[in-house]
Amino acid sequence: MRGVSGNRAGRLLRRAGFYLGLVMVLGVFIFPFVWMVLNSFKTHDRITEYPPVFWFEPTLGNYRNVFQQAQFFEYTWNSFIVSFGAVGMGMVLGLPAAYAIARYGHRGFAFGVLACRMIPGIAFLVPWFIVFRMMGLLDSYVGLILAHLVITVPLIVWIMIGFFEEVPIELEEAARIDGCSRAGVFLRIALPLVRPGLVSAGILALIFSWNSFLFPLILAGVNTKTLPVLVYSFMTFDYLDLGGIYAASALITLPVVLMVLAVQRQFIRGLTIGGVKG
Amino acid sequence: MRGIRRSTFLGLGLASMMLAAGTNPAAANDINWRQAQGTEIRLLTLRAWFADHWRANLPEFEKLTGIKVVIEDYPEDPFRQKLAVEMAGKSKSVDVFTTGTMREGRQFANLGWYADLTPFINDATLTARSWDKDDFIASVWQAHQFQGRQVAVPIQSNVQLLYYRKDLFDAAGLAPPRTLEELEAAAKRLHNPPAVYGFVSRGRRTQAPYSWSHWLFANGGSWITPDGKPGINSPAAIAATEQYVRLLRSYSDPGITDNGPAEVQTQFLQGRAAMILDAVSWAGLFNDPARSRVAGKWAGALAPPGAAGATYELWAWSLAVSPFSDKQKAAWLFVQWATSKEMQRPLHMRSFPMPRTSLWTDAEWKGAVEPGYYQAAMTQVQAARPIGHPPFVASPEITDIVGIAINNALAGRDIKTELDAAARRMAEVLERTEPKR
Amino acid sequence: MTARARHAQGGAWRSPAPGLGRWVDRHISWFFILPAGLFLAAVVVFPVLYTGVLSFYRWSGSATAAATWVGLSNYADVFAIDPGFRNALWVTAYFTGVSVLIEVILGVGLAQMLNREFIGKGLARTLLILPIAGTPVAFALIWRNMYNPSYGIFLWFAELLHLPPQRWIADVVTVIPSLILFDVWQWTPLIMLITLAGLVSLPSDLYEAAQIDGASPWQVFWRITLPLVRPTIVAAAMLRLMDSLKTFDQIYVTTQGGPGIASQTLNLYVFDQAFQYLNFGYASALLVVLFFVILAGNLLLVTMRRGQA
Repeated sequence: MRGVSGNRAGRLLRRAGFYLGLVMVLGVFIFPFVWMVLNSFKTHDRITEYPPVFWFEPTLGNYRNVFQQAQFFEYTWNSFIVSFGAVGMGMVLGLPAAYAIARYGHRGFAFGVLACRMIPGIAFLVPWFIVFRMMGLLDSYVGLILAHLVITVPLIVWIMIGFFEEVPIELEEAARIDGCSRAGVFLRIALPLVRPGLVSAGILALIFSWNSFLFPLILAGVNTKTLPVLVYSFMTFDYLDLGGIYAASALITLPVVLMVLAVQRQFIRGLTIGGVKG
Repeated sequence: MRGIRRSTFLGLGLASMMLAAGTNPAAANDINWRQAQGTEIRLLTLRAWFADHWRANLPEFEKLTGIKVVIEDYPEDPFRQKLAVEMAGKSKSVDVFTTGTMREGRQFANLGWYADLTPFINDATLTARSWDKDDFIASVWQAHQFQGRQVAVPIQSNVQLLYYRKDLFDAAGLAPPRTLEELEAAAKRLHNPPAVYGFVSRGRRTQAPYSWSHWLFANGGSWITPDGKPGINSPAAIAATEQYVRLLRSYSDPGITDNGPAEVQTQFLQGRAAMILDAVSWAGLFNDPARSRVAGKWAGALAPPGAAGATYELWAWSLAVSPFSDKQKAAWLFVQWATSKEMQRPLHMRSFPMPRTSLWTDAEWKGAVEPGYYQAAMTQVQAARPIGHPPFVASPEITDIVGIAINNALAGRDIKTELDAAARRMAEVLERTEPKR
Repeated sequence: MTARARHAQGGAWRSPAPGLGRWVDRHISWFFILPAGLFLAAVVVFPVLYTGVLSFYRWSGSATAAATWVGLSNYADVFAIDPGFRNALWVTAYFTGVSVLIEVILGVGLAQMLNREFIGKGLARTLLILPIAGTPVAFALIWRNMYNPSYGIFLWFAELLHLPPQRWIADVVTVIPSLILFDVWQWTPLIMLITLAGLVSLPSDLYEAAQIDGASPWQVFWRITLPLVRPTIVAAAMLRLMDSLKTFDQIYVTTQGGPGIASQTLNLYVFDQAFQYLNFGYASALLVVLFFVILAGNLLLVTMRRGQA
């Protein structure tokens, strides 16, 4: 290997090989997205024909169908409220907890938080339904956000522990000597320093919350249904509208993709995960 | 916007909806439709053409009764899950729901998940004479009675008939098969993969028993032996399964172990299936040139009988009222409206066959559909029985046990071993769930 | 410093009563974990108790008859006689074991590949993380469609490469590998992302030293990089393991556990028992077992991590 690296042609060849490999890898990971977008402009008949066509007269019919599902915009709005609510509340609850774990131990509590993430979602459905009904939380944003917090809080805590651990303790000690309270240290010193981590944790939590299907299915109603349920609208018990499914999938994925793109720089920089140094 | 919400699935013609809306079900106004006005009821339904139809006509109902209806629909599996959670939680918020009594009727009745509709039906102040209970086809109506109670009202009557490609049959000089042997011979003759598969059917675990049961009964088998033992590994059942598996493994498409209704339908729509034995309600779709490559090229025929004759299979989705609901009166008014002749007629005209005799004998429908299809559908619906699922409390679980066995057999495993194992598990489940005799 | 000045510095969250304030400050960490702790307890404890208690009963959601106490017999059935459970345990182990392993290897490899300067780096990274954002139910339907053995795009790819046609999810043998491929596609980027973040933060002086010593890139990776990012990788693997063992949407939408029960994982089996068969008691016992399976898997990883530290 080292013998070749001195050689100019060899280096060029290696570079070409690297780009070729990169393009292939990217191709594999991007293909389902490309196929999704392509098929979303095909009719059901075109989607199910063989061999598959890559050049065809595009139709906007599928998208029209999705938009004419009168509730599309309501669902999108619901999805935004619920996932942003769950992430925001998750931050409020999770950040102090992650900081406390990073600085003061509480390993038992940390484990408890993690254990919550290990509980299979199905276990929550019937009991939550009963409790939520008694409290009048069914088909309400509050109820859904509460449910989604079980997804977001452990994730945020887990990711943020690592970031808080990386905050130099000297900075905090200096602030303490200057008379800052422990709570003040958290808010004024630690929190601003972990901002990249906040972005990563926030986006990941948002994705998991946005994509959750089981909880909204059981706990939401006509007023609060979220987008993943919409994909299913194109499936009836004896007809599968593939065009609608592709178009709906594209529309559901779009907001998350846009958000990831918007913050991708911080996202990648800031993803060290739970207790890396611990 | 909602009022004229366009059906995304089956190209529901606006005209037919308007027609339905124009005919007021309360024309024979012998009950007070406004007796529950001001209430709001919630309908949990399977996502399907009937739900679209109700939604489209809802303003009419709301105007007639002053009852507001919230329709919430999901595809089959999420629907079942949601319903199960709500019923197990004794939710008051579901008032009306769709149910497949031939699958889960005994189970739900046993659990107390159905309100008894008999008192509503018999109450002359609650049920209009024009609703005409006697118009419902007897076999379909009776499939909704458990422990002497009417638990639901059917919103369709589905039989499985043979759809075959008339053009291919003609080209090959074949006549439509009259027995299962002839069906296999025709499948062999027309099988030309990957362009055309001889016979495509549902083989997916959750769907296979529904298709397979036709072979089971046609070969003289049954879900249960006369002495109450599992009948699924009887010699007749094994012979039936051998025939079924041989047919599909030889002349079906490669996706057979995963085929559900959507896959079977797609193969036929694309012209890749020479024959299918499936839902009578697909005729409208198959003849829609915008979505079908076989419009006008197919015909219908009787589901071919086997060595032991034929037992035609019946399936229906139905509307039930929740026993936990506080608004049962309003709920019943909705059920009555949704199952009225006026509401069912437009669907029937689009070949979503309804459970009413008057619609089946309707001259307009007869004139509009393919003659072989009409003959087959007509003959079968009169004699059809709910054989697609075993008649037990634990019907869903037993159906799945059998589905696993058939699916494994379709994947190439030994038929007898699979059916024996399934029979053992079925016996265990029966021991646990059936009332002691 | 006067109390007044301290107050000004400490901010509004500082109690005016210095004694209490100091006490709160000293125990501040408890106040930090309290909200999250109370919340999680409030929403989690009841379902856990409910499931635990119900696992000792036989109950089908009946409105008329009470649940029957059956003691440990649900658990006895799970471990002693239920072939469905044994199958599901094996399928779960197979699916999760292989997919997480591939995801870790591929993810670390990709991270290593992307952790250098090249043209289009930002774009490549961005495109690579897109699968994470895909809604699982939507992409499950899409993958199911791509796997269709009669017209799916994979059939066409196989033809293009002159490979024999596969039946993908319609075949007992290929169904799990097909699902693994789907899972690897979606979640390798997550592992890559986390590992990449770990790699970026590694101290560069070590590498310079290694370069001076004339170590090959391969040696550098094995001897220096890997040990340093191992905790990060294990943490990422844990995150995947937890979710992978609970995978539901993806498998349910693509195969419903079929053909037969060839892809019926524990979570899917629980679903069928609970919502198809309405055996809520038995399903609860299975849920308890599934929880401990997930716990055991993670403890295993934690011990691995400790052992290496």
